Amino acid sequence: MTEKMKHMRLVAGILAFGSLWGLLECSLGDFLSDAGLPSGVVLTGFVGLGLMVLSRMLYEQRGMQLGMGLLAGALKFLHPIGGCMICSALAIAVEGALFEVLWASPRLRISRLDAGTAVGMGVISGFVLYSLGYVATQILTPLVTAAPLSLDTLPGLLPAIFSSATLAGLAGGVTLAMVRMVPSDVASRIAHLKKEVYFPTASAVAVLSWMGILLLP
Amino acid sequence: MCPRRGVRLERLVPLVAACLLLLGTLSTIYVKSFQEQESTEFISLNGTAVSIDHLYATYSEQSLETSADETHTGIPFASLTQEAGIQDPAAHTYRIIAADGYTKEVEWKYLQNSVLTSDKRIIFAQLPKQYWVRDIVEIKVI
Repeated sequence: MTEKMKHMRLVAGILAFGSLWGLLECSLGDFLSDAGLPSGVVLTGFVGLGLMVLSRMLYEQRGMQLGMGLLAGALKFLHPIGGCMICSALAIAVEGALFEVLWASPRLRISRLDAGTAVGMGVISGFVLYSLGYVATQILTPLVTAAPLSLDTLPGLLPAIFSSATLAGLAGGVTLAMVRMVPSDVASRIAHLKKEVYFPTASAVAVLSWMGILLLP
Repeated sequence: MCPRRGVRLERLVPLVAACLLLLGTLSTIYVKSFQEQESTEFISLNGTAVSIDHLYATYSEQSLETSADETHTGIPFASLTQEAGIQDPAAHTYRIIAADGYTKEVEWKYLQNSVLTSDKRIIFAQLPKQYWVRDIVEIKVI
């Protein structure tokens, strides 16, 4: 496979996984809140982290998850129904960036991690993505929207943020355990699909996700 | 070199994960013990307990269109300051506190374009949703 083809497959992967992430963020958020479930915990610990870990396992390419986060955040922001979701959009983009930092070490290859380390990384990822994502949006949203930035109340919020982040951490541990159950040969086969199958499939996932976002009630 | 590094990673990751879970558990105990307040039908307005039913019976609801083109109805915040007997409301900043401890401080220029909904959530016309505090239990004048 040429470098150019590898690059194109990666871009298609970012489009597919990022769009799917954006669709799930736009569609599940209100549904989970209405059902009385902690939407932030579920979306960070299961959905966002799950897609980022799965894509990292399939492609083993750093930087991809940042691209996915930026795309999913942009889709959340542009979602025509439900208005401006700048806080959530920023949180998603920050989660993508934080994942890249946490999983930067080349030793953290998901398929080669033992169960304890994988679940531990899931807990760390869920906890850090949720808590730092939350703090980042508290700071970035006022800066982006020209709303008043009040950092005085932030220290008082930290215990509540860490409390919710515990659930996100546990969700992350479960997510990693589940992703590790995907057989490595299946992962390899998906990542190395023939281009005649790979590109149409990735394009279809991306387009269907965009249509889903546009058609959401 | 590599096996030794691998062993360190295998030990370090569960240790960090356990520390974070411990931090989260202690934070939960702290929040449940000291920060969370019981959600009731009353809101403390600068020290005076006012029921939502009373506010809705006394003041007329208004519609508010937000910058995101959403329309919400509720009691204008100006009515709350009137109920609490706050003199010169424009001269103050207000601390809005939710049952779970979530707190935002907001100036009058934003509050004059806001409403309190029947489910005790404040909606601002010009501020993002981060400021729309849910399940309000207390509003303090600072």
